Amino acid sequence: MRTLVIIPAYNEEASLPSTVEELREKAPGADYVIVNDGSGDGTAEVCRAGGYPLLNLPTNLGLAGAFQTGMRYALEQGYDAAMQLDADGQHDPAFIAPMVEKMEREQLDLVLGSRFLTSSRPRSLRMAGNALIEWAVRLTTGQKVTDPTCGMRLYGRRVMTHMAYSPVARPEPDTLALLIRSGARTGEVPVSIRERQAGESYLSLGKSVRYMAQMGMNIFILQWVMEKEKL
Amino acid sequence: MSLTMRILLIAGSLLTAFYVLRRVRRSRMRTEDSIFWLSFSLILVLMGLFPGLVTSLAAFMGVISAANLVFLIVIFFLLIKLFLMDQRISALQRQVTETAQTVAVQAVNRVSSGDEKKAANGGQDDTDAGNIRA
Ligand SMILES: Nc1nc2c(ncn2[C@@H]2O[C@H](COP(=O)(O)OP(=O)(O)OP(=O)(O)O)[C@@H](O)[C@H]2O)c(=O)[nH]1
Ligand SMILES: [Mg+2]
Repeated sequence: MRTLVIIPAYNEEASLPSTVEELREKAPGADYVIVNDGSGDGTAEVCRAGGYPLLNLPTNLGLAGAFQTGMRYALEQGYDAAMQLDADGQHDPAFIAPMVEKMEREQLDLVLGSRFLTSSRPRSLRMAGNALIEWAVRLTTGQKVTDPTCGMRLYGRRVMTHMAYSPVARPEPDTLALLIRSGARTGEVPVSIRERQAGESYLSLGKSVRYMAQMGMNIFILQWVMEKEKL
Repeated sequence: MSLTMRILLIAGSLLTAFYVLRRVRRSRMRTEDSIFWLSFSLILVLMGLFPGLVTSLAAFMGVISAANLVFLIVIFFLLIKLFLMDQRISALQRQVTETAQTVAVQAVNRVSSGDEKKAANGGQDDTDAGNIRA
């Protein structure tokens, strides 16, 4: 199975080189591409200097648009699977291999990284939101997804088309719920996510609250309205 | 409020809601954009169903007739939408400009560097920009 690692990067010049280095070291031979999401800093220059494969967006599309660019590239290059690896160094590339392995072994369409398969969920505002989304996803899909907001996800061929071409697809729990409802075979792999190493978080408190409201609304209400995907 | 107006309010907003939901269903509209129209039609339906509410609110606010208050509320909503759309158009305009400029500059590089295209791209071959336009 040919897998592409998609690294969305928005103003990540500080952490990108170490992320790529670690990826090369811990997942040697893995294909990867960086999607520079119209960064205002030296993200593109860092990629050129290091010779990293780069999709350079001329303007900021947001994580969804940036990730989708990577997905389209993966499809057009004939990859069988693609996954998200954040440029900020929070995702440990050591978990790529077990995720790919699980997808191949169990013939899955979606493999989700989860922080809470082996350890229990810590108590914080953000984790309360995570639990709420988990509940919403279980209610609408009948499936337990222990860590629906974790960005480390591996998408198989059958769901890549939706991810790449649907104008409403995004690497978020609402799309996840839609894919599961549409019949995507889903599995989970325990991962650990690190603290941010540099740069600025994209999720301020206000944005987090908005994000929660939107996900709740989408998963609970509009999920029923959306047409299922034909996988 | 006259019965005709109530019926118009209810029918109009139900049609709006139906149309919006159909677009969401077919992935023609993002869910976050549908929320405005859905809440808008909900409020119109409520006003059509409970005209007493509108009448007492109008009396409280010193508005002469309930119908006037309905117009006021609708105008208020439309102004908010107009403002949000204005912001969005500005952002889109900036994005289109940036994109067009980038494409133009890249096209010039390509024409003028000819065979040295690869070198000019920093050895990135075509992964850099070529694929995005595909
Ligand atoms: N903020 C932001 N991030 C983007 C965008 N496009 C791509 N990204 C990338 O998306 C990835 C995830 O963004 P983060 O800000 O780390 O979001 P997060 O991991 O959910 O939040 P934190 O735990 O606070 O870091 C990073 O690799 C970003 O560089 C964008 O438009 N805005
Ligand atoms: Mg992060």
